[in-house]
Parts: sequence; C-alpha cells; structure tokens
Amino acid sequence: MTLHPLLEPGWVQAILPELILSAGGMLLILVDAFLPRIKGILAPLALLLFIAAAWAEALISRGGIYFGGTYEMSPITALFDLTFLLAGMLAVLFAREYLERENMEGGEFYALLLWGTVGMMMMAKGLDLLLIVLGLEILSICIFVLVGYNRRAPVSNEASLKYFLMGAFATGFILYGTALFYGATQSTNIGVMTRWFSGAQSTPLLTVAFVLLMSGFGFKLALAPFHPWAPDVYQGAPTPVAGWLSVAPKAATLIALVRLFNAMGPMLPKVSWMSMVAALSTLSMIVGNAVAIVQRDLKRMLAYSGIAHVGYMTIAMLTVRDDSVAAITVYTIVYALMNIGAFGVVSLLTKNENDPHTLDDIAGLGFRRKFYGFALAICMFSLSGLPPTAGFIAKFYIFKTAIESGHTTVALVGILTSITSVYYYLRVVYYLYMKEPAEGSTPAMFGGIFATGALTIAIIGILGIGIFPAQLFQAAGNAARILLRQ
Amino acid sequence: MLNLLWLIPLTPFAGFLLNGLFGKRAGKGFVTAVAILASLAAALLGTAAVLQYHGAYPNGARHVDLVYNWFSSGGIGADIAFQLDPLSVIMLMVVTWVGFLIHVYSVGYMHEEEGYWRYFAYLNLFLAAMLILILGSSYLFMFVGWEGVGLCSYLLIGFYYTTDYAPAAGKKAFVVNRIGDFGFLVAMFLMFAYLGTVDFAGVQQRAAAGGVDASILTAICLLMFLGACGKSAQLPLYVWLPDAMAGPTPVSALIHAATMVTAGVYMIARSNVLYRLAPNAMMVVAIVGGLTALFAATIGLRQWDIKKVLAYSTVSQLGFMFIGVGVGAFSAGVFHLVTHAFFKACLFLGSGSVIHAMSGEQDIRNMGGLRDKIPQTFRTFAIATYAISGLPLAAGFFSKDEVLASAWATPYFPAVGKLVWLLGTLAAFCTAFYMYRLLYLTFYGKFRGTHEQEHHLHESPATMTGPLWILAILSAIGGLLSLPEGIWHGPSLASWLAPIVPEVEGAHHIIEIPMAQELTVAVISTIVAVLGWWVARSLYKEKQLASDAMLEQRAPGLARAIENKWYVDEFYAATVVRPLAGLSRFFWRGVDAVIDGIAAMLGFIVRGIGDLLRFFQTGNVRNYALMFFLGVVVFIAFFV
Repeated sequence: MTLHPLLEPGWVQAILPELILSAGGMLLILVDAFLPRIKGILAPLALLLFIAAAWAEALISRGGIYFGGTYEMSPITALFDLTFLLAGMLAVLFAREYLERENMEGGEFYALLLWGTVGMMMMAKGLDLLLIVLGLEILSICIFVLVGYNRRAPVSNEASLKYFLMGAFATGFILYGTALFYGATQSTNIGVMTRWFSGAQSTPLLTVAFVLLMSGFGFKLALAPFHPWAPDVYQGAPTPVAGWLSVAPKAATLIALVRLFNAMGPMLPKVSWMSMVAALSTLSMIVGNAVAIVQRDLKRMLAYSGIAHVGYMTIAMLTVRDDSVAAITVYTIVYALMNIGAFGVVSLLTKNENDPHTLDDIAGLGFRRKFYGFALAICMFSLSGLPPTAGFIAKFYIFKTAIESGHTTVALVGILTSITSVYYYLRVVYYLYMKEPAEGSTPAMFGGIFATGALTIAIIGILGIGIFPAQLFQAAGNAARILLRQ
Repeated sequence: MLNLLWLIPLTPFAGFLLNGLFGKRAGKGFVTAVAILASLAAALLGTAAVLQYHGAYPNGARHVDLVYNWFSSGGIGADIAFQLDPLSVIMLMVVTWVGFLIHVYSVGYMHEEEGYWRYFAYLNLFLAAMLILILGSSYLFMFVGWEGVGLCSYLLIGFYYTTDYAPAAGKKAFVVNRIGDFGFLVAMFLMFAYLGTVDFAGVQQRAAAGGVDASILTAICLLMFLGACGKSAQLPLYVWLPDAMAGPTPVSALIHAATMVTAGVYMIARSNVLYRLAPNAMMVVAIVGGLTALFAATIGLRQWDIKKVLAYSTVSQLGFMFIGVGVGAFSAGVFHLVTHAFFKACLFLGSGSVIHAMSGEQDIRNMGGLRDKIPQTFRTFAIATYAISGLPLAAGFFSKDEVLASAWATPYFPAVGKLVWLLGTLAAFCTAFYMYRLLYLTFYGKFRGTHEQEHHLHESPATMTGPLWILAILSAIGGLLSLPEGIWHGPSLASWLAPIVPEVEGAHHIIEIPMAQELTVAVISTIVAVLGWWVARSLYKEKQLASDAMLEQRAPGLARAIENKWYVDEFYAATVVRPLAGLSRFFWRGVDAVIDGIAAMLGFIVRGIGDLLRFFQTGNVRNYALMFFLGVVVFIAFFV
C-alpha cells in the first residue's frame, strides 16, 4: 500500500466552492447576530455566496483527484454542483419574501441552505463511501432544521421529527451496508472497490450489503416503498424548503449511486441486483402517479409526482452508460427548474401554513395574477412532459436510452404512467385558467422581485433547454464519458 | 421564401403572443386586426412558399429548411427543420386558407363573447401548432405540433369554462388523446431503436432498404395508428369528438372538422412506405376506418343537436379517409381530406350561423322553417349537404367514390377490401340520409321555436356569410381537383401527390383501378346516395318530427340504442374509468393508509381513546419504518 501525500497541490482551488459556502454560512449567522436590524441583506448575501461558489466551481476548480484518492473534481461533478447551486439560489429567492411574510427571517436559514449544499457537493465528489455518507449526514442535519424551521407551526415540527426519525433509520441501513461492503472488499474507496469488483464473484453477504445500501439511498430518493415520509414532510416543511428538498438531495444521491453502480459495473452482469432497482423504479412510477391523481393538496400532489419523477430517473440507472448518465444529469437540472418553480408559486399563497394548500386556492389565478399563473402552467407542462418544454426532451431522452439498453418493459411502464400523469398536472392548469374562484376564499399572493426573478429563471430555463437542448446534452454526454472512462 | 419556412408558423405564434399579452387591455379592434393579419400573413407566406417550391422542384422532391440541430448523441438525433413536399403543400394550403376564412368568420360569430382576446390568442396558437405539425420534417418535430394542437383543442373546447360540461369535455378530449400519444411515442422509440432516426426521409429510406423485421414495421405502424385513432377520433377512441362540440362553433369547424382531426390521416399518408411494407397494419387501418364510418353514421341518424349530427358525421367521414389510406389509396384519402375540409367547414359554419340566428338554440326539434329567414345560410348549407352526401358531380361525389373504388380494387387484401367497400357504401347511405334529415328538419316545415327566438331571427353579417359562400363554392367544385383517370389525364391532385408514394421493393405501388370497376362503384354509390336522400325527403320534408316519433314506435329498442350512441360512453365508464379511479384510490387508501389503519387499531386497543391522536402522529413514523423494513426484508428474501 502506497502512502499518498494528503494535500496535493491545487487542493484549495479544488474545494474552493465548498470553502466559500462553509465560511459564507458562518458569515451569514454572524451578520445576523451583530447587525440584526438589516435582515434585508441576508438573502442578497446568500445569493452572492452561491454565485461566488458557482464562479469558483465553473472557472477556478481544476479537474483531478485530491485528498489521497478520496475527492474527485470532474466535469460531471461540476455539472451536479452547479445544479445544487442553482437549486440553492432558487430556494433563497423564494424564501426571501416567504420568510418575511411569515416573519421568521434569520441568517441561520440561509446558512443551512449553504451548508446543506456543501454536504451535497461532498456526495457528488466523494470517492469513498464514508465520505459520501458523511456528506449525506451533513445534508440531513441541515434538512432536519430547515424542515422544522417554522417553529410555530405544529405541522412543521411534526414533519421535522418524522424526517429525523426516518432519516436516522435509513442512515442505519446505509451504514450497515457500507460496513458489509467494507467487509467484502476490504475498502470503502470507490477506486479500490472498482478494481476488486472486476474480478470478484457475488456472495450473499454482498447482496445483503447492496440491498441495505440501496434501501437507504432509496429512502433519500423517496423511491417506493421507502417513500411514505415524503408527502408528510413536504407538506409540513416551509414551502420553499420543500421545493429545494424535493430536488437537490435527490440529485446528490443519484450521482453518488451512479458512481457506485459504475464501480460495480463488471459485477452487475453476474448478479440480478438491478432487478431491485427496476422494481423500485416501476413501483415508484405506479404509486407516485396513481396516488397523485387523487390529491387535492398541491404540496402532497407534488410530493407524489416527485416520487414518480425519481422513478423515471432511476430507469436510466439500470444501465450505466454515457448517454444514460447524461440523461440523468439533464433530467436533474430540468427537474430542479420545474419542481422548485412549481413549489415556488405555491409558496406565494398567503395562507396559514397549517392548512392545506389546495387546488381551490389557485382557481382563476391565471387571470388574477397572470405571471404567477403562467409560470405555474409552464412548470406543469414541463412536469407532464409536453413539448416544447424541457420536461419533454428530458423525459424523452430517458425513455430513449432505456429502450436502447433493452429495458423495454420498465420504459413502457414509464411512458404509460407519465401519460397518466398529464391528468393531474393539467388539472392544475385547468384550475388556473378554467375555474372561477369560489367567493372570497382565494388567498392573496405575496411575492416581490425575488420570487419574480426566480420564476423568470425557471421559465427561461424550462423553455430554453426545451428548445435548445443540444449544448446541454453534449456537455452532459462528454462529462459522462470522462466519468465512465475511469 | 423557401429558406424562411419557419416564418409561416411564426406569424400566427406572434399573433398569439401579442393578443395573449396585450389583447385584454388593447380592445377588440386590436385583437381582430392582429389575429386576422397573423392568419392572413401565414396564408400568404405559405402560398408564396408553395409557388416557389413548385418552380424549384417540378418533380415533387422534398425541400428541407434546417433551422438548427435540436439534439444529437451517439449518431442519433433530431433537427428542428421544416419541409415542403407535395403532401405538405396540400395540407399547408388547406390549413392556412380554411384557417383564415374561419378567423374571419369568428370575428362575426364571437363579437359579443367575453374573452374575445383569449379566443383569438388560442386560435392563433392553434394555427401555429398545426403548421408545425404539417411542416415539421421529422416525427419528433411533428409530435411537438401534435401535442400543441391537442393543448389548444383542450383550451378551446373548454373556452366556455363557466359551464359545467365544457371543461369536462376538454379534459375528456385531452385524456383520450393521451392514449393515442402513447402509441405515437412508443412508435418513435421503436424507430430510434431499429431505424436509427425519426426523420421522415431517413425512416423511409431505411425501411425501404430492407433488413428491418416486418414485425417491427407492423408494430410501428399499428402504434402510429393508435396515435391516429386518438387524434382523428376513430374507434375505439372517437368518444371525445362529439363532446368537443362544447367549444365555440368556429372551433368545431376549424379544429374538429377541417384540420386537427385529419392529422392522423396525414400521418399515415406521410408514412406510406412503412405501411405498404406492413400490409397487415394497413388492413387494420382499413377495417377500423370502415367500421368507424358506418358506426358513427348510424349514431348520426338520431341526434337532435345540430352540432352533434355534424360531429358524428365528421367521425364517419374521417373513417372514409382512413379507408382510403388503409387500402393503399393515399392520394384518395388525402383528396377526401381536402373536400371534407371544404364541405364540413361550410356545414359547421352554417350550423354556427343557424345557432347565431336562433339565439343559441342547438336542438333541431326547436327549429324548422328557417329557409326563408336566413336564406344565405340555407343555400350554402344545402350546397354542402349535397356535396357531403356524395350526390353527383359535387366534391364529395368524386372523393368518396375514389376511396370506395380503391377499397374495391385494392391489391393488398382483395377480400377484406370488398368488405370494407360494403361498410363504406352502407355508411354512404346513412350519410345522405342523416344529412338530409338535418337539412329538412332545420330549414323546412314550420318554425317550432319560441316567439322570442322567432322575433330575433336574423341573417348573419357579411363576415360570416362571406366565408360560407367561399366554402360552399369550393364544396361544389372541389371535385375538379382530382377527376378520375378515365375522364381526365392532365395534372390533378393524384398526379401531384404521386411523388410521395415512391416505388418500394416488395410493396405495391399506386392502385390501378380498371375503368369498368370505377364505373360500377360510381353507379352504386350514386344510387345509394340518391336513395338516402329520397328516404330522408319522403320522411322529413313534409312530416318533420312526426316521422321520428313513428320510427320510435316501430322499433323502440333500436331507436333508443342509437339515440344513446350505442351506450359506448357508459361502457367505457364501467370498464375503464371506474376501475382506474378505484386503483388510484386503492393505492392511496390501501397501501398508504391500511397500514396506518392497522396500527391505529392496535393503538386503540393498547392505549385507549385518550392517546389516539397522539398515537396517530408518532404512529405514522412507526408504520413508515415498518414498511421500510418490510421492503428491505422482501428484497433480501428475493435475492438470497
């Protein structure tokens, strides 16, 4: 065994985004502590920090492997990091006016978003299972607090507690799985595991390890049957948090899984592990879409729709190839835009957070608040996969790669269920444009320049990627090829 | 202009943006000007492009105007590109000019409606989507237009959203169409997987080059036909079209008669190489077309709503078009598409004029005697009725005859061809009958409406009667577009479309119909049509509603079954809709809540009523953990 020098040259540049976010979070808390009068600058400051991190990510960080073979910077991690940063920025933009309205603005809210993003970056870049789990835990702690941030609302506390208990439960499975993998392969390092897997035979122990790990990650992804927490937690969480939570942690988990599956690549043809992934995916698509149809609460509907969307993304995990990884990458970016956008519009509804936000609340919104209505409609079209929105091309690509890889049955289930899903997404549009509001019962919309900015970004992104997807697919494809060559 | 094809859909799209953004505040004059100019500009640009195309490609080759590469990976991709070829040219002319006429008509028809701006914004958007559908150069880009027209159709059917039935009808249309979209999507994935492209020309070449399994081609064709069944309202997916009549009448004319619903026919004509290599799929198309033509025509026999009669008639006429493309007579199918666009648009707009005159009344039992009150409408309606009934020398006579003769003479499946011909001929009889029944009950006899309605009776303004007359004249003379070979040897629609049906090894080429057969079929069709007219005339011209009452007495069961549309909606509700809703509820209540329920029961026993609420909160998490654990156990048990 050779000893690596622990700090390779260039390591500061490599983790500059993480450093900016970590220090920035502390700065935000300090600013809030020492200058409590000017809460208004917290959100712009957080935005600035996200932008600085994105700048560092895109322009400063250099590719390579750092910290003794445990931390990797590559184009694919850059793409995912930028997705996390985008999700974080959108969350900040929606949170700004939401927190002001609910009268609970504080530096720690934004700090937690920043730190959570650091955790996700660790998951994306970690070349060691332990590092991935560490990132996951950093992220989870931030999520517990963010979900329960609305301390006065019992529903928020309950959601936080649920996520905490269930999260701890799931982490146990992940850790146990990791330990078993370590027992079999003598390492938690992905690189070492890759070499080991290329010559190994499957043992029952390994299978159990895989099931435990996959179940734990399946929980984080809200894949059925590990999903029941998601609707409760999304419903209880402050709405901008719910939007962020429904996207960013899932993206981080997906990229970590891609890495793991890629390492297992040589082993996979010999075992039937992927049938578990196929089962999770199929079940998620069916349960998510079927249950979303009967939901009248917008946040719960989006939660179930999220379960279905992860189901679609998981189809592309069945065969880890360059175009399937590209498909996942593009899908997460698109999903971030449309889902955070959709939750964002819901977050603007001025309502007691303990009450459900139902379809009736948005009746006639398309004519009362044209821009918000239009934005929500675009998000719905994209979620349902109607061209020319980005949701169409992203979904199309997923199904196309799946059919080319021979996963026809799962892809057919995906196409069928996604066609069913149009029913409940379009019902939102129906309420927006074809429903008279019930008398005096529709809540006001509270939103200013921040929310408008976020929705503008979402709309431009959804239509832009939908109409001009070529560059993004090319970048994702190239990044995926570099990832898989190792 | 040939390199600016993208401008054609862009102009109505710009109209949509302008009216959508500013229409509400800018007022009716602005909205009218924008919408009319946008549709006129599309029609003029389209005509200019067609003229140039005709000069540049005298032999009917394909012109492609690449805008940019949409996406590509691993040698597979799709372009944003528009194309012109003889088929797109025909569609382009029909869609833009009929579209323009209906825009003009709408100015008169909708002038008192609230949401005037909304209506025209949607209508322009529809035109843009429809133009993408027919000008796109690949299946994928065509699909963009395909979904776009579906969305606009949904929005326009639900236009009167304050009523209960209109939004429901819109939803039904959209949901049924999604079943068809499933077929279209899967067909495209199969093309990607087995032919490596979705470009029209590429698919054609690779399929014609051989090497692709016939069963794959059959699957692709059948799946595409499923899409066509949804969009073009064929059995068993036709149920949405009659309900779609909840939309404003000009919309019924434009979207649900002349343009969008013919997209399925266009799609099959466009894919004729694939279909000719998969004759089994063609046979399915022909049989479904024949059955739909007859089935819908029988329902049309006993409808009371003037628009419903026309709706079922549209379903039935679409069936004729599918007979045409199904038996391999692609130009005949498209020919009928064109003439149908003329006379059915004229009939729908005429019905709109009637409804307008009758202050919103749609039930023909309350009409009658309108002949002298609204003479322009009556004359145009009568001409179009003559044309659709297939009576000699009008447009429908030639196109329907071409379709039926081709069915008779088809080389693909001679025996089935004869059967399809029989279905079509019976449907033709029904067509003449129900159309003349409609004409006599509406315009002849005595007025049966209220005094108030009679007082308000008035002929429609010139913006409405103008388009009616243009369409009526086209219905009368549209047959000249494609006279049978035996009479006329010069250029015709059939010879114009010939290049889109290339010679393919192992497939039949254009159908040759012997003169004798052509004549026989024409004579039989004429007799049948005249018979249908004569029966309707003797029953309804004088006796009016009394005849319907008499028929009901003679065969009450049959009459009721037809009146209730053979109970198809009820059948679907019982077999598809309710079980699906049940499934959804099962997952929700069952999977997510039964475990809750069991645990709650246990808690109830153990802790008593006082703890129940608290138990629900923590109990949930416990159940989730239980579910999680069970999931893990099941997977481990499965593997080990």
